[in-house]
Amino acid sequence: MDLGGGYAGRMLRVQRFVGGCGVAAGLFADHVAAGRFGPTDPANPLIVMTGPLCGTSLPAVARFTVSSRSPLTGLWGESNVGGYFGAELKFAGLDGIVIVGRAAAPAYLFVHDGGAELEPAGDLWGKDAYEVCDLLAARHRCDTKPAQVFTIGPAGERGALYAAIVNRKHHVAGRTGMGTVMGSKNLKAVVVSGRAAVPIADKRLFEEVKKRVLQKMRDSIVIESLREAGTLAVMDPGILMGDVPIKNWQVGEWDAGYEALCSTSYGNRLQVGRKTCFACPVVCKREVEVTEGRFKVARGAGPEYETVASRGMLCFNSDLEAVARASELANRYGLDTITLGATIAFAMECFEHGLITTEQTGGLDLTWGNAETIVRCVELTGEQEGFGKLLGLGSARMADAIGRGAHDFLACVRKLEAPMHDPRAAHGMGLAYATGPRGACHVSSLNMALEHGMNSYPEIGLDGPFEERSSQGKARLTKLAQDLGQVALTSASVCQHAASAFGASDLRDMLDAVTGVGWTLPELMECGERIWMLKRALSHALGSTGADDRLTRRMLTALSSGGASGSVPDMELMLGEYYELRGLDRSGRPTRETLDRLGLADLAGIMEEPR
Amino acid sequence: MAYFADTEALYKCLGTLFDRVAQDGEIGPKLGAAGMVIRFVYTEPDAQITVDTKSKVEKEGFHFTNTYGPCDLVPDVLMTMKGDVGHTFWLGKVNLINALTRRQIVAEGPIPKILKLLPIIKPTYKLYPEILKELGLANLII
Repeated sequence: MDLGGGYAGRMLRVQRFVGGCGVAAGLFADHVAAGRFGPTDPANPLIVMTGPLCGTSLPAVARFTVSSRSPLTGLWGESNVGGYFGAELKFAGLDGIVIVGRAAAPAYLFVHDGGAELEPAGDLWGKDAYEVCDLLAARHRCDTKPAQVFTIGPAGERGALYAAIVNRKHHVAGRTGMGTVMGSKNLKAVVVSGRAAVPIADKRLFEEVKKRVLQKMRDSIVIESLREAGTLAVMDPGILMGDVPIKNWQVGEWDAGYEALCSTSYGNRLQVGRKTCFACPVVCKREVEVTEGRFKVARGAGPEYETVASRGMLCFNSDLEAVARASELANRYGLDTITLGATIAFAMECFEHGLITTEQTGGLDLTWGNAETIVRCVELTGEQEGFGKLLGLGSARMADAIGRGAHDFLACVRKLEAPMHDPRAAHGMGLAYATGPRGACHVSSLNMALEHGMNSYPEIGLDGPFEERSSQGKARLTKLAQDLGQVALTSASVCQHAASAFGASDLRDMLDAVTGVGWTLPELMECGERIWMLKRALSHALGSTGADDRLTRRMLTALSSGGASGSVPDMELMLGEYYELRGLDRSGRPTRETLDRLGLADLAGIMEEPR
Repeated sequence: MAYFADTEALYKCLGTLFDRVAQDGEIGPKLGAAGMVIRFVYTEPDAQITVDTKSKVEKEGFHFTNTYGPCDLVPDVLMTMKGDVGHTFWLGKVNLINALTRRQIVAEGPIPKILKLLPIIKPTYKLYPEILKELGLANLII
């Protein structure tokens, strides 16, 4: 097809799936239709995909996605990440890469202007992600510019189920274990380098919309807060709203923890610099350094909100320096920070109840808040040694292994641990978690921006304000927030933070300026609906059902204090309404009519026989 | 009907709270360390409270100084809202982000610095209802 800009010009699915994760899901469906494969089988495709905006000078569009069958959940997996790799991939003349098979020996893939080679990586195997980023960036330069490196650490080589892939140390594709898939292919890294520019279809509109969205970002208090405090900006209001889970989702308030882990404390005790993603003026990344005490941290990528919340508040650990050290280790080993923190917190609760003993932990004392233990758990998981092998399964599979009521301590959906945003404080978020195609997910829908009042989207009927701790009307809100999210966040790959300053029309205009495709807003919303439904069908094909559209008992137990005290999402009400709006049958399965309407009739076949 | 019948009623409730916080052994020193002048401008009823955590504190037992009514201090942060919004905010019933984005609270100045104070002021949400009870105004608790 003739595309005006934004794409390298060799893809055929963009009009239906826009780009990024949408296109990746379309490609993945072909592989699922072709035959059965497990997450670590060579036939499982690992799909790295950018969106059309990536690599342009628009703000906050540097993100891209990695997709595959997840080793952690067994279902459709996807991870969304910022940084510089996606833009460089576009400069190398590619929109994405589909990797199948398994190298006979450790290798890395070098993609450059017009070419790609598999290079031996025997000297890199076993090295941590930071070392590999430095080594390969120095080895492959394009003129004076270092290449961009996307690498796994030892955790991905050794089969921890939630291994991550790291770009430039700060940017981590963590969720659903895409690094584990990469490691199973004996692929240590992908290196990209190029000189091409991303073509722009309508330069006049491009400049107009760029000026407009930059002004909106300048006017946004959310962006201003992110610039000032990094992603920890959400911690401070989150504490008041009851958004931040504490002590494995059991406690509503913890003043000592707030004080130790809030953004002011972080700024005073850890922060030494700021970093950003390609072409992004927000500058929300933090550089930290700890030179004294038990937990020294070399100057480098600082922990983000999800890490501070999961390794701090969730583990009842108020030692901020330990959080920073554990964060550095997780990045070096290449581990998903959310699943890791949630799994350690889960293990601590199991330990408290005698379901895990020091005999199993190798002598580790998993008492709540034990900072030394938390750091050691990261090392063991990364190395896949001793107790780390159990931790490397993630909390849901760990509960299966432990039994004896351990499932009561879980906070996950479809075996994916929930992010650090409590659905008891925003009921629609609970529905978004329950129906998230990859499991409990906060970055593929715009629920958080809407329910927490950061943004509204009147163009698509989401004007608000919305009562956070109410389930009324949340099915409609969540369906629309997911549809827009599937287009804006996972496929056009706009940063969630920036999306809190953009309107839906801005997104349409950005896509129009770059691609020239000329989508209308209703067409984009239908693309989002189609992408969600495609992923839903894929998860059904891989063994999930509507019975998995549930929050765990822990997440549905009311807290007695804090901003969300006494509040529990009414899942029955929301799911009933939601299934009807989505065109799912009573068991949560896409109906034939719905698939036909969205042009996905060919998926009915692959859902018949779960793989 | 507005929670505060007139300016005097607003000063009575919010003034008692602000002065109690300024003397609080736990919250006072933390807020006092913020090093900012924050002015709350209320409408319906009209009132103005300036919280000065920058200048030397003259009043014994206080960790910062509150001024009720117009004053010459130049604020670092100016927050304008209706009296009802102010009242419900200190009861912990207002989502500050929502109120700011929807301009129920209009803020000028470095807002992120205000957001960073939220964990510090959190205990006041429990203190304010107690003060209202002490003042015989439990009917204002929502």
